[in-house]
Amino acid sequence: MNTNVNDLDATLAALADPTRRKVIDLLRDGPRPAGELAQAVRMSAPALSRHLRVLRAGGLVRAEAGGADARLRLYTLRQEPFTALQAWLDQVQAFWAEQLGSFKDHVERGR
Amino acid sequence: MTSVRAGVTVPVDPAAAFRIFTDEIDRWYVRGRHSWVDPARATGIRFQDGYLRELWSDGGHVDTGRIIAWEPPHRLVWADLINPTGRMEIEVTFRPVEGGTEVLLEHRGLDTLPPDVAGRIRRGYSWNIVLRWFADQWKD
Repeated sequence: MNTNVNDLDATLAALADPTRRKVIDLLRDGPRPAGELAQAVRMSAPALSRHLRVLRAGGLVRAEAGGADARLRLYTLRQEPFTALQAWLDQVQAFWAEQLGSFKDHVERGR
Repeated sequence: MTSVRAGVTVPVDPAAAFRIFTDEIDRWYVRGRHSWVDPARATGIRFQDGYLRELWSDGGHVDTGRIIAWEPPHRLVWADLINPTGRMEIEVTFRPVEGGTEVLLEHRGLDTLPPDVAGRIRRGYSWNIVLRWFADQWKD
């Protein structure tokens, strides 16, 4: 399991493929085993496993081992790549909103 | 380019708004923990000699922005110098509206920061692609 979720290259690469986007779409409804995902996207388990590896590397999904059978591995969506970014943007926005609020107060005091 | 926006409406005309924003920045700029390069030495902030400058108690200073557009009373843009590896710009526009001036600020290029500054941001990519796509994902 590649835990380097900071790797934007991998994140972007993961999102660039329609099959992988479909997998993520499916996982929005909850965790699914790899075998079910393969059926849903009409792909063989080995063919899909390559895509699942890219999604794991990009930090977009995590897999819980389902014993010896890779098809039973349970896949779950991770929101961190998005929420961490959004939280940071929110901080920057709040910084400027506070500065502009102070500017407005200053203008109004001077009238 | 990933950007954030903030805005206020102030009860003066654009020329006055532009003048107060720039000439009097030291009197309204909020002194917070993240507002200064060197909080221990910082005594003020000023638009001076083509730069946005943080003044220090020992007589020194640091230029935090380089002015790239100075167009009173409409527009002001400076390039961020705090994170030289990034390519960030801050643009402020002043537009006459009913009852005064709408002041809009846009901080652009947040996606150009190196990872040590912004956790998950990498240079040279537009996070907007990811952001938009993800935002759509979690829309119900």
